[in-house]
Amino acid sequence: MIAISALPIAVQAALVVTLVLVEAIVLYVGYGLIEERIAPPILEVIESV
Amino acid sequence: MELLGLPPELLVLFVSFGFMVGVFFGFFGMGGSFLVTPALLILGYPAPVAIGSSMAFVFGTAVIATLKHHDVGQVDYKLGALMFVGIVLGIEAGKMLVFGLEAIGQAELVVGTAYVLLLGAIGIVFTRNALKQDASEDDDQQTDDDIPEIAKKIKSYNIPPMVTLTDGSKASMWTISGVGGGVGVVSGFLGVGGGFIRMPAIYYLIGVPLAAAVGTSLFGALMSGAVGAFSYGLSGVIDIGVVTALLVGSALGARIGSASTAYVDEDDVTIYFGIMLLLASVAVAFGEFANWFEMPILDTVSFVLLIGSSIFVTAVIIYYGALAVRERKVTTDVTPHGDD
Repeated sequence: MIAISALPIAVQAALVVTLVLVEAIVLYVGYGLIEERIAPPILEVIESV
Repeated sequence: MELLGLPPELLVLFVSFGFMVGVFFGFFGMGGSFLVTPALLILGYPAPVAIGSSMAFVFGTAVIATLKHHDVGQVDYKLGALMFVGIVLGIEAGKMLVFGLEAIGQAELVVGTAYVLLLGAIGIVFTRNALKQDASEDDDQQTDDDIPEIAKKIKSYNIPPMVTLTDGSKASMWTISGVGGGVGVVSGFLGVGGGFIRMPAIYYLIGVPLAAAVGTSLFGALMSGAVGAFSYGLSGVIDIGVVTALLVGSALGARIGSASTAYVDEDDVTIYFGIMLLLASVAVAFGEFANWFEMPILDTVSFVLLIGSSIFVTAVIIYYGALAVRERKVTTDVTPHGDD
């Protein structure tokens, strides 16, 4: 396993940017799927309260 | 036990704060990043870490927002790409300023003071607009495809090199670079996406229609965030644990905020947002006073003001949203039986 701190600083910086990009895409897709499933029942609950 | 390098209480705090920031971003289309840096400063993070982490957060948030706008075709990628050089140079200049101030021990003071003024100014604009919204209703007759007179006048000066934008109109490369560079300096210095400056600049100075200006501004924030995160990453000052926790909250909050726009009239809650920004300005000022007078109690007051006002406005948006959903249900139920 390669220690990240052993990599050149430019590569570390690029990894940070890539990591944030991947996190953002995963969250966008993941929450989108969750929203499709749970948004309708939540709206129904709010309407019935 | 730590997760993402954060103790549980800080993790919960950052996810919750990210959620609130996401709701503002989803609902108002702004208000994300310029609350994060002050919060990190108040929590005692050094200015370069607060700004660098905020830039990485801006990048993640802008990726999510741009994906949404891309789906409805409201992004001028060509214009965004043309601004790139200006953004890079501007952010580098802003970053050099931060590290120069850090070297003489003045970064927190100057950045904090800049935030007091910035949040105060934007807060005043929002509050004033909310208070006189009735008087300005006539101004809303402009369509999304219109561009303001000042933009038409600027476009009439043909200063080469001229470039053709996606909508077929032309703009000077100098104007585009100036907008990119100017907003880049602010982004690099304060750790913000700069949408509150870039969007009006793209609309008023470059003359891109409003709907496309919003999407293109988000794409600009994406580039600013990427360049800023890389630049601050080179200095090793980004706290990826903080960024991840904030993103987990904000991605969810942004969905709820943008969904709420379908139910809630923005005019109903704009005044609360304006007041929240004014309180955030006061909060950062208290944080500065806490350092000057070495009074930790002021740090607590500052923290409570910032988080408390954010919680209040988030609750108002969600409350109005829930109320509107219920009212719509009642209306739907009553209308078919209205003659009974």
